[in-house]
Amino acid sequence: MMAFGGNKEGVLQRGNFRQYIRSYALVIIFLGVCAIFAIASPTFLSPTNIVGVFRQIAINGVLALGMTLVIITGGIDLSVGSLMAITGVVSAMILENDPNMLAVALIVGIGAAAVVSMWTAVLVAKMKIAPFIASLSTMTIARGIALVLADGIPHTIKNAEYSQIGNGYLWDASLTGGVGFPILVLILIVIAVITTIILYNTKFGRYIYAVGGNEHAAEASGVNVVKIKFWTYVLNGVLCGVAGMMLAARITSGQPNAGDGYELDAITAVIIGGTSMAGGSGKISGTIIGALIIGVLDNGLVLLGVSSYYQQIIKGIIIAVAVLLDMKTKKR
Amino acid sequence: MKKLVAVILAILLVAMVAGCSGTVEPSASADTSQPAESSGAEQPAEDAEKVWKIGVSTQSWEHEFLKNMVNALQAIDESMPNVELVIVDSEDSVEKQLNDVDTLIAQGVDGIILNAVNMEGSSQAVVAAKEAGLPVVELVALTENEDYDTFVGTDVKASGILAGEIAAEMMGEKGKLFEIQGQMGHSAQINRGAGIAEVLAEYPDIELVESQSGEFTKDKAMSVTEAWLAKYPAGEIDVIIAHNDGMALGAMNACISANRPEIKIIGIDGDAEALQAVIDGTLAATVVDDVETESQLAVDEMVSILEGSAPEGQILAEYIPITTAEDAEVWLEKRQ
Repeated sequence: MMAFGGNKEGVLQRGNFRQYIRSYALVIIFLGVCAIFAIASPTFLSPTNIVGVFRQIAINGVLALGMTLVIITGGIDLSVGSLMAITGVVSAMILENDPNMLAVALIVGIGAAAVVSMWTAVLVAKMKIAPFIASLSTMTIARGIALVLADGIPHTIKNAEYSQIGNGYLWDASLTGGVGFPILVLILIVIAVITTIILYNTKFGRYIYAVGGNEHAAEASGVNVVKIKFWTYVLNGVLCGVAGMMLAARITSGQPNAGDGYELDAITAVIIGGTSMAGGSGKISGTIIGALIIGVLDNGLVLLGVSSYYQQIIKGIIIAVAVLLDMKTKKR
Repeated sequence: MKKLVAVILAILLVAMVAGCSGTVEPSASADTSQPAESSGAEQPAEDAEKVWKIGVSTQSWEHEFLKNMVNALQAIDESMPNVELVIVDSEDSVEKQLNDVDTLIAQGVDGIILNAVNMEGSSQAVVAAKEAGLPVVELVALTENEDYDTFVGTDVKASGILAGEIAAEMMGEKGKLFEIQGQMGHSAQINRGAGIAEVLAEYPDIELVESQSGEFTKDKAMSVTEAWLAKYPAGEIDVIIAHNDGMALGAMNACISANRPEIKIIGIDGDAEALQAVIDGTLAATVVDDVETESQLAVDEMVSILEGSAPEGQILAEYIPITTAEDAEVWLEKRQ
């Protein structure tokens, strides 16, 4: 199943405690960080706060899942934040025209991000431009498109159902003591399941690993590398659209400057999750834990009242430590 | 796949721990609804006055004007024994602000002082606080959602009007004006721009040649100005108004390096560096936004609401125009 994965999942054998620890290093780091915050702040484990943390990681989580696929092919996509802005602006403006066109707003909004992401897809897959540069081009173009469409100003979303996506719960939270299941988290879970199936259970997924592992070998064995790369970037574009919709719903407006800098958080989650920037290896579960670690850090440091300046230093150090530990445990 | 299973197990474990702690203790909702009794019981008698824990969500700690506000809030936190301010930084991200407010609510603060990142997006923070039954005082920046209790700040438009009038006076009521706007969509950009436009409507001989966004940053404003300096030769630019001092300083630097000292530059906020530039004569004027007073008013208003008074709805502070070195020195001393 993980033929091209290049990860050590296969060596996990029952009874071997040390290897068990190695394979679960990330989970242990995550639980360790949680334990520290839980001891330091009584609020950390309160149900409302836990729900809050999951909601906080949902948007970055979806972005990071798309980014995982791209990075496994050996690429990168810097345009994700700008693509999110396009979705938000497009759906907000459709709803501004006619507040009842919810489905149209969602489909066209997400579709717009997917269409614009084809620019990166063509440049990378067909023109063989380095993904960093190709997506940098899309990042600027997409931001410009969002600004032009929105005429530079934010557009408030007046459709209550749309904002429910970002702020609502599966059931009325007040019935269960104010603790509900946020719709944003449901979307993250659905996207995680879909990307898991695509990556591990389809030919397309195996080819994604193959292209990232060794492009020439993949080509020689009959994989259509151009096609695989193209559709990976477009799929990522769709996920950016979904994340853009989630953000617009959360902030109940389509803002042309939304999502600025989000690409870095997404890449950080992927890297903490153990995906190699060189391509060819990486896991969905790792990315989810990566996003969780970032979310827990953001939340816990705020709870502890750490100054915003120190927060950034601490976050930077923990990112390096997490990656180092993960690398160490993966070796040998 | 096995790791995925582990993740799900870990999540369930955490959720269970949370669930357990929720049942062992009196339960979280009861916990947050009665902070008065519990904290009162912990620190009895000698401190008869209750300590109000107030969450403050700020737009950023990186722009100087907002840094002045954060400094003022920190000073208030130390000087007022009956308040504890939990000040958090949204790093200019609306999403982070919404998350921070959720975290503050979970932490059980008594009220929220919100310095909105932006008018539309930050509205959801007001909804969240109101759903949790907390009073909201907005500081400096407004949200579109008007369910907050009190807004403390300035009539932002008045600063645009003041800056516009200083410009008109300096130009002798006619000439060529340029405007460096803030981040598009930010309430300060919208209202300061509207104030400037209102003044210009009264002076038909003043031509607003170009308006460009400097995104509230010095370097962006500098490159906007450099482009103008290249496009318009000496005599075709009389005054540049910037929506904040940082951008005015950027424009000033561009004019100094291009050796165009005849251009008069006006900023808004009264940042220390801008005040110094007014003293040095390189900046024509700035409009002081007295954020220290506003921060104090916001905390006082929150305390008064928490102690049972009806909210004021709106508390406005006056802007102070600074066009002379003497005035600038007075304010510079306050802000250092």
